[in-house]
Amino acid sequence: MRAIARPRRSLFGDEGRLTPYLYLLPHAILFFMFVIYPIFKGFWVSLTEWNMFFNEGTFVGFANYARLFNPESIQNAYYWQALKATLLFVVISVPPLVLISLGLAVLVTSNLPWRSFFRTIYFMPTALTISVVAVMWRWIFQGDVGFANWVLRALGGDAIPWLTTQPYAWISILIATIWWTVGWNMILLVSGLNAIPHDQYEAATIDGANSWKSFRYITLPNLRPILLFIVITTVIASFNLFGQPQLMTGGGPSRSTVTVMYYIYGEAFGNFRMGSSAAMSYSTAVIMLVATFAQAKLFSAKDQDS
Amino acid sequence: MRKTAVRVLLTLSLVCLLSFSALAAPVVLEYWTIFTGPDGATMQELVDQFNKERAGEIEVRMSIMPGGNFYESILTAVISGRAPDVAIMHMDRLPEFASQGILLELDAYVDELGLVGEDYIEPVWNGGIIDGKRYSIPLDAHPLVMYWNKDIFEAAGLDPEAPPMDRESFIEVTKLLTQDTDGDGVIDQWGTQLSVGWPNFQYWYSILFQNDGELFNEDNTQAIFNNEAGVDALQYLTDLIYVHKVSPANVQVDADVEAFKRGEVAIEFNGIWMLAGYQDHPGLNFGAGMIPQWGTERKAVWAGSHQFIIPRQRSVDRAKVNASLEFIAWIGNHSLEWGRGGQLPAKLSVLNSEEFRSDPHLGSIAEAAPYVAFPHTFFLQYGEATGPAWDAINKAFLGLMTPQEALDEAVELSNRVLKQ
Repeated sequence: MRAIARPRRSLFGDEGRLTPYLYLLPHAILFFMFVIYPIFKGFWVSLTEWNMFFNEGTFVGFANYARLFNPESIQNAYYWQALKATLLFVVISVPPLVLISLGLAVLVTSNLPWRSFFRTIYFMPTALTISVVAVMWRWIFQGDVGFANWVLRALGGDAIPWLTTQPYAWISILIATIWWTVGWNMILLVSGLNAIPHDQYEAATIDGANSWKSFRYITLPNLRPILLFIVITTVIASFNLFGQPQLMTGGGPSRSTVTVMYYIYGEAFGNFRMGSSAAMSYSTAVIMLVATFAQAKLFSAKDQDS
Repeated sequence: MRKTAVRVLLTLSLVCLLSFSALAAPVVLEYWTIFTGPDGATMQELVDQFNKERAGEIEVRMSIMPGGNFYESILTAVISGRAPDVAIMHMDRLPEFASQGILLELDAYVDELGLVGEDYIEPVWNGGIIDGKRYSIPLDAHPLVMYWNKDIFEAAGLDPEAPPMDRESFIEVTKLLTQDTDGDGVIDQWGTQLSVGWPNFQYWYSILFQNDGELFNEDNTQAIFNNEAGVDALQYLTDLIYVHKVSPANVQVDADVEAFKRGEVAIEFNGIWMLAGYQDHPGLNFGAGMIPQWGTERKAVWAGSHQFIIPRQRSVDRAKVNASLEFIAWIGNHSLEWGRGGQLPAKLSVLNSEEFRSDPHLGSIAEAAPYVAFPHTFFLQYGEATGPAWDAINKAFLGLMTPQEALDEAVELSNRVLKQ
C-alpha cells in the first residue's frame, strides 16, 4: 500500500494553525497590558518605596506589609480601622442587596400587572454614575433642607442628622447603594428565574406543594449557581465601596466611613506613598480571595447536603 | 523651468504665511485654580480682563477644580507632562510639593519683577521660602471671619455695629440671640452654628493660637496640641454646643452657611471667601470682621494664603515662564479687585489703600491682617499630621469624646505620622 501524503495545514486562513491564536491576540494583548502586567508591577511596587516622580523605587522587601502590623505606624491605625468599617458595610449591605433583588425579581417575573414597567425602573438607577447618585442622595439626606427630613417633619417626627452622625451615615450610604445597584442583581435573577423549566413547578403542584414550598425546593436550588455568583460579586462590590463615602460623607463622621479602598486611594494620591498603598491593596486582595473561596465552599457544602 | 519657479514661489509664500501665523499666535497659559467658591467668578473676571488687555500676546485659560482634586492631580500632571503653566497653591501645602521637586524656583524671577518683602504681609511673603529657596509668590491672605446678621442684632436691641469680641460677651450675646421666634417650641434662630467638619479646624486653631499655643514642637517632631491651650480651645467650643446651647449639634458642612443666608443664624464663622456669596444674597444685612478673642492671651486668627506657583515642566519654555510671570505680576497689581472678591491682598500697598479700607466689609476684615497666625513652620507632613486634629474636633463636637480624650488620641496618631 502506498502511503497517502496528507497535505500540511497552512498557518493562516480558515483552517490555519495560527488562526485561533490570531483571533485571541487583540484581547490577549489588552488583557496582558491592563490586567496581568499591573498585577505583577503592582506587587513589585509594594516591595519598594516608590517615587512617582522618577517612576522608580528603592527595594524595601516586605517593610510596607510589616508596617501594617507595627503599632507605631499611622497605617496600622488607619488601615485596620478602614478594614473594619468595610467589613461592617459588607455585613449590612450584602443581605439586603441579595434578598431585595431576589424579591423584586420574583415580583417582576410573576403575573402582576405593569411588571415590565417596574422591571425597567428598578434597573434604571444602575445606568447612572456614582457622582450623580452620590450628589443626589447627599441632597436628599441634607440635614436642614433635604427631602428625607422634610418627609420626617411632615410626618411629625424629628429631623435626623443623616450624614453627620452614626449610625445614620452608614444607613444613608446603604440606602443610596441599594437604590443604585439592586437592579443589577435583579436582572440576573430574572434571567435565572426565566430559565427554570415550568414542568418542575407543575410536578410540584401535582404533589401538593404550596407557593412557599415551590420557592424553597424548586426556585432556590435552580437559582443556586446564579445566587452564588451574585453573592460573591456583591461581597466584592461592597468590599470595594469608595464613591459613596467619598462623595456623601467625605469619610466622616471622623473617619468612620473611610473604607479600605478610600484609605488606599488617600495613601497613594494624598500622601504619595505608593509602595505602602500597593501593599495595602495586595493585603486586601488576599483577604477578599480568602472570603471568596470561603463563600464558594459554603455554597458547595450546602449542595452536598441537599 | 516655469514649473519649478511656481513651486518655489508657492513654497516661499506658504513659509511666509506660516511664520506670520506663528508670530501672531499668542502664548497660551494653562492656569489651574481651586476657587470653587464665589471667588472663582472674581478670578475669572480678572483673567478675562488680562486676556483682553494682552489679546494676541498672552491668553490665559483658567480651570477651577476642588482643592482635593487639585492636590491629587498636580503631581501626576507634572510627571506625565500635562502640568499647567501657572497655578494657585495653598501656603500650607508648599513644603510637600516643593520637596517633590515639582515647583520651579522663583528667586531669580522675583528679583527681575522687582518684588520685595516689605511690600507684602510678612508671614505670607516668608511662607514662599522653603529651605532657603523661594517657590511661590503670594497672592493673598484669607482669614477666618466673623459674619453677623445686623437685623437680628437690632431686633434684639443690640448695637448692630458692635458684635461681641471676647469670650464672655460672645456667650452672653449668642445666648440672648438663640430664640424660638414663632413660639412653636422649636428653636428657629441660633446664636451661632458650629459645623461638624469644615471649617471647624479653623475655629479651634484660632483659639489655640489665641491661647498662645502651637500645634507642633520647635523641630516638628512632636504634636503638642493636647496641651492646656488646645484642650481649653476645644472645650470652649463644645461648651457652646452642649452647655450654653447656643449652637445646634450635628451641623452639617455648609448647613451653617445656608442657615445664615436664610437669616436663621446670628453669628457665623467662615472664610473671607464666603463674603461675595453673602453680598450677593438678597436681603441679607450683615457685618463682617475680625473674630472675637475667645482665647486668653492674645488676638489671633487662622488664615490661609493663596500663592502662585509655576510647575516644573519637562523642558523650560522660557516664553511661557515669562508670560506666567507677567500674568502673576498683573494680578498682583490688580489685587484690589481680587480682594473685593473676598480676600485680603498680600500686597500691603493695596491692603492699606484708601480704596480697600473704605469698603464696609473688607475694611473691617482688613483689621485682622496683623493677627493672622501661621504655625512656626509648615513642613512636608503638616497636612497629614493635622488630619487627626480634624477628626478629634469632630468627635468632640459630636459628643463622642471629651476634648481631652479626643486631642490625646489625635496627638498619638499625629506623632505616628511625624515618626515616618
